[in-house]
Amino acid sequence: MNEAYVVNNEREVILNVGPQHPATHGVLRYVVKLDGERIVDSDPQVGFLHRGIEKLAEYMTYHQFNPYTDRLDYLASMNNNLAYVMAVEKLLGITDQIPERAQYIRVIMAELGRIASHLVWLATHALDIGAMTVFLYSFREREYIIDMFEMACGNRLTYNYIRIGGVARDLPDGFMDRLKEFTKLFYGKVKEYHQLLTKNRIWLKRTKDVGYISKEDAINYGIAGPCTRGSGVDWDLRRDMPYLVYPELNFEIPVYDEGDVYARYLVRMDEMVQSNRILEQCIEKIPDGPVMIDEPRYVWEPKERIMMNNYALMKHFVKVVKGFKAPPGEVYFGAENPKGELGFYIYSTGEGKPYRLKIRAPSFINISAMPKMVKGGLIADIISVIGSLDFVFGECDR
Amino acid sequence: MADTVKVKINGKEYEAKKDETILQVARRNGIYIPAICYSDRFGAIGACRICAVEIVGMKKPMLSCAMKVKDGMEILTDSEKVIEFRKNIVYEWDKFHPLQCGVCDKSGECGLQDINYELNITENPLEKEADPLSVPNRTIHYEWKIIHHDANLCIQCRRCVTICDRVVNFGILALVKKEWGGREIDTKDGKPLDCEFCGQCVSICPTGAMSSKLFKYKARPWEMDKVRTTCQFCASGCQMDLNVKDNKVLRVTSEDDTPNMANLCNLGRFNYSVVESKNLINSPKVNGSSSNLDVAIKKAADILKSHGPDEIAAICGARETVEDQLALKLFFENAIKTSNIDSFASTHIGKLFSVLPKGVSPLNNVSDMEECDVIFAFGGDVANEMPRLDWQTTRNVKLLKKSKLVTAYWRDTKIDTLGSVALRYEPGQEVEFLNSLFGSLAGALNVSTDIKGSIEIPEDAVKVLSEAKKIAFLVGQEALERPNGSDVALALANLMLLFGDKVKLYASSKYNNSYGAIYSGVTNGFDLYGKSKEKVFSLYDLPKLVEDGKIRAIFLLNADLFTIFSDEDARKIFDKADVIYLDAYMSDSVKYAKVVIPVATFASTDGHYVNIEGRFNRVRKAIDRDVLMAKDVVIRIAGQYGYNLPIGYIKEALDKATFDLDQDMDSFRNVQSGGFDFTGSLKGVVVYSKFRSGIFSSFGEGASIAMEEPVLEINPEDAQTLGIEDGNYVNVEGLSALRVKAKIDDQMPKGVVSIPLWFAGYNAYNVSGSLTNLFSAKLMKGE
Ligand code: SF4
Ligand code: SF4
Ligand code: SF4
Ligand code: FES
Repeated sequence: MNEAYVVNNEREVILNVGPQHPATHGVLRYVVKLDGERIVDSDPQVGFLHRGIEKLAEYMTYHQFNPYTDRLDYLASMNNNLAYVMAVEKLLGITDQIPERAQYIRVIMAELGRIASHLVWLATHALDIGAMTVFLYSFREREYIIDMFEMACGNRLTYNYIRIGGVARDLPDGFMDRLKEFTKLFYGKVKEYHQLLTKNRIWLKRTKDVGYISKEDAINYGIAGPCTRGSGVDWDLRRDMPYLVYPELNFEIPVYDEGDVYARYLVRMDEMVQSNRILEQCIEKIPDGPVMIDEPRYVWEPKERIMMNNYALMKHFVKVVKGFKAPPGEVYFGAENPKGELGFYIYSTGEGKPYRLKIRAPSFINISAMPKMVKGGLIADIISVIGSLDFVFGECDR
Repeated sequence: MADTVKVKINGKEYEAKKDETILQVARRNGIYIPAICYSDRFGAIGACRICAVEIVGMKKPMLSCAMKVKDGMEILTDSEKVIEFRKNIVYEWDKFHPLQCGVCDKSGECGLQDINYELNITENPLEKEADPLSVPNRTIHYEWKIIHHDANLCIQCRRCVTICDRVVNFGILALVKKEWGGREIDTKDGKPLDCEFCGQCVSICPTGAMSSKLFKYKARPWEMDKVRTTCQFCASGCQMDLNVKDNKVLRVTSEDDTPNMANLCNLGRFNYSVVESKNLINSPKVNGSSSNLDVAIKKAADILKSHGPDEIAAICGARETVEDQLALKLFFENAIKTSNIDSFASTHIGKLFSVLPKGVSPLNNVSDMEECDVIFAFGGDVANEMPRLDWQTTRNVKLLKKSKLVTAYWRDTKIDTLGSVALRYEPGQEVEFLNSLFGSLAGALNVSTDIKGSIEIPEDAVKVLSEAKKIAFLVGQEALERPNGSDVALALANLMLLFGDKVKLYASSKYNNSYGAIYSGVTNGFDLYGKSKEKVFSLYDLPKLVEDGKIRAIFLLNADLFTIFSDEDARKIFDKADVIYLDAYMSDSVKYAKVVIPVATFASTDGHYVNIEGRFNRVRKAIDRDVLMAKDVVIRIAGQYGYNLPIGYIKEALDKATFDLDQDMDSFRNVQSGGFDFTGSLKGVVVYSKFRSGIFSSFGEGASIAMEEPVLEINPEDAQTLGIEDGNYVNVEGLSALRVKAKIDDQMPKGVVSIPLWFAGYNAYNVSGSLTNLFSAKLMKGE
């Protein structure tokens, strides 16, 4: 039995935090063994939001599964779409054929998604620790981004916009202008957040030297994303296993060595700035052109062609009903998501549906390092550590 | 080893058996080759040519479905050359194919769509040269019944032709030359389709060209849920999928991996609408008026309680699930404390299974018939009684050419067209015939016996039968239901004992769970697991027992008495005894029973049927109806007795799922040859129709459209003498009169007429007498 559940002497007390608790950011049941206010041991219990998404995938065509990925980390649905779609494209061997415009749009969406996700992190993290104003500020900017998503695809939370072969439709008129406006404005906003928190004494007390994890442990636990970069691990898939047009863009990977909640805070704050830089470059570089590959084997053909051409019509039915036949084999693709590496492993037997689909959910893996981080600390540290790990249960429990 | 060879497919080496085709070897090893006309159900046709592969060293692509492997062969399944070859074929098919997937029923499961997708066809070079106005106008057969053919969608793969010929052995379809210069699928004689209406052609057609009229435009394939279940129309136990949408069964399909290899007959494939027929009983009835369930159950219990245990009897219709039967048995034996239970199985297989000879194998997989080098079909028309046995016989004889066929019946039937040694006797002479056959065979096999008969058995039959290494006995239900059916069973047992362990027995039954009725011990002479037991109560004695006041209350489970007794006998029973009747469908029994409680039909019940193979097939609930399953009704009536059914007991019986049949007959018995005494010149026989199984089967569209009304079959000469023409109505007079349509059939022997069982509002036993299928016929031309 896990040590966290065994009381060794009369000073020790076992306490349940969650599953319904405002600071657990979703349905996390966190069991802590306390000696006074000190945490002796702890154990996160996950799975309350399990929907069997991986199993569901086995009963769906590849296209049908796309909207399900929205429901993983629902704060970064664009990024989830992207990771899944890129995995399928790798399986189909069409990664190189994705039109450039589509690639730029994908990067724009991914970076906007990153900023939006980080803004929610910042808002709730600060709120948990008692700073209300930050919450209002960052939701104000997030709203701006969500409006842009809505322009592009009609939805405000679950987008299903990035599709196998490209993106669902081209950017609407006015989108670029709003994006320009946003990028101009956003540097100033980040400064505001810094003014509120970075040198705030309460903030420092609650985050500095709290929830420490060493570089070595971070690697061994397999945690990823901003959480490792706060422990001095210089690793970012956008740069180190590049995909899309990232190699053509200039950006830095913020890394801090302290390994505490504050370091992870700084990483994300800096990342927002870097994402904004990427967005600025995209605005400059984005070319005109198609946003979807022309490969009737795998993607929907335009409606007019389906209605006029027998072959498009026939194939359309096959694709819709049975799914396109992916080549047999297995692939893994991981993308740098706001929470860390989101990976999709697909095993195909050549049918229209995946034989097995496995999701490497960064939230799940990041939570696993939590007992290590809080051990020996105070019970109140749990709240800052939860905030700094930034997990979402749609993804963790799948 | 001499009979294995090595071949290379796409550069990799594989082992293969010598007589395997390239396609078989490839499929076995998971290598995909498209094949449109080939099917495991009937083998290669060689019509579509899409399965072509390149063989290194050969110029032309070869058809992998037909070509056998040779040692050292190098095969390429998707070289550029073959892909090009395949594309050209598909261009040809597509050239005039209408832009119609949007409304076509096949869309979403269409072979033509699939191959177009697979070859990624985006345009058709042939289309450019084809003048749209030159598109020939092809026939759409709106006039056919049940099946719809649209030649515009046909790719001429000849699958329909082949399945009709090689599996169904009916052979009515062909590619026929048409006025516009090309060929189309049509009936050989050009008349509207008049066939078994089994829809095998619909099930095998890769495109929407052959489709079901009953399903037309009702739903798209992907909208329906498939519920795997077991057919309710005969003891073959075919596995099929009810396609359900919005709580309605819209069509029935079956898959290649079922034991029946996706084959279904008319009843199984098209008669699904019985489950929502307007003839379903909707509410319980007490003394003829509508009531509610609680009152009806209370009333049923009161009736049963008001009689002594020996005055109560139960009869199962052999259509309910094993669970229902076991519940009834438990209730009767433990709460009412009587063993007066019988089932409709005792009219046929019950007789045979109580005299099972030592050594023979009584329950066999139908596909294991392939091990038999001789098939002996006796006493019934296999195609009418159990189509699945007919398909297997056809497979053995026509397709695999593994077995010789000997038929013994009073007329020629469809299986004789396979090429048989045909032994014939007169109806009613079964015992005499079997004794004669026994005598001749005993002689040939050097067994000394004094059993013999007066019918001459041709040499060739004796030769074929006596040389058999494994012999399949196909026993007709009809012969066992003769008035002297028990003697027929005994004479047959003698014959089987002569062959001993060479025999595989297949005894047909139109009742889907008659084998279950033997297993669960609700049949006279059988206890649980089919062990033999003392005979206490026989449904044959029922009219007499009721008349004498010995039986005063009867519990009927799916057992409509009007389907086994004449109206007169049945009415008498209802008049004198208190009857509690559980069934799903309206019948005359519903009119007269004291208490009627509706129960779930097969599509809304859950449980098991046991088929001819002794296999426990699952029956699954596909649609919701607001009625209880029969076993739950029994449980509630038992509750009124303060008796709790031991449910674990039912589970144990189901888990065992193997029969403990007693096979103690080990010596030949003398059987009385006496047959049926016909008076007058015409012998009448009551036979089974392939379009009916129980009166309720006439409530479904498939069966009732295929055959609207009963027909009397008569030899042309007899018809002429009596002045009857095809299609005339005649009055058949036996015990009482029936009016039926005459059909002149030159396969009918002279002096014999037949009428079928089980049509709504018609009872053949009114002519022949209860549980009797022979009668002296008098025919009067009707108006
Ligand atoms: S037969 Fe097939 S290809 Fe032709 S219209 Fe129907 S679904 Fe489409
Ligand atoms: S009707 Fe169907 S099965 Fe028959 S030849 Fe045409 S496409 Fe083939
Ligand atoms: S009636 Fe018999 S042969 Fe026909 S489908 Fe049903 S089980 Fe099969
Ligand atoms: S499958 Fe071989 S010719 Fe059709």
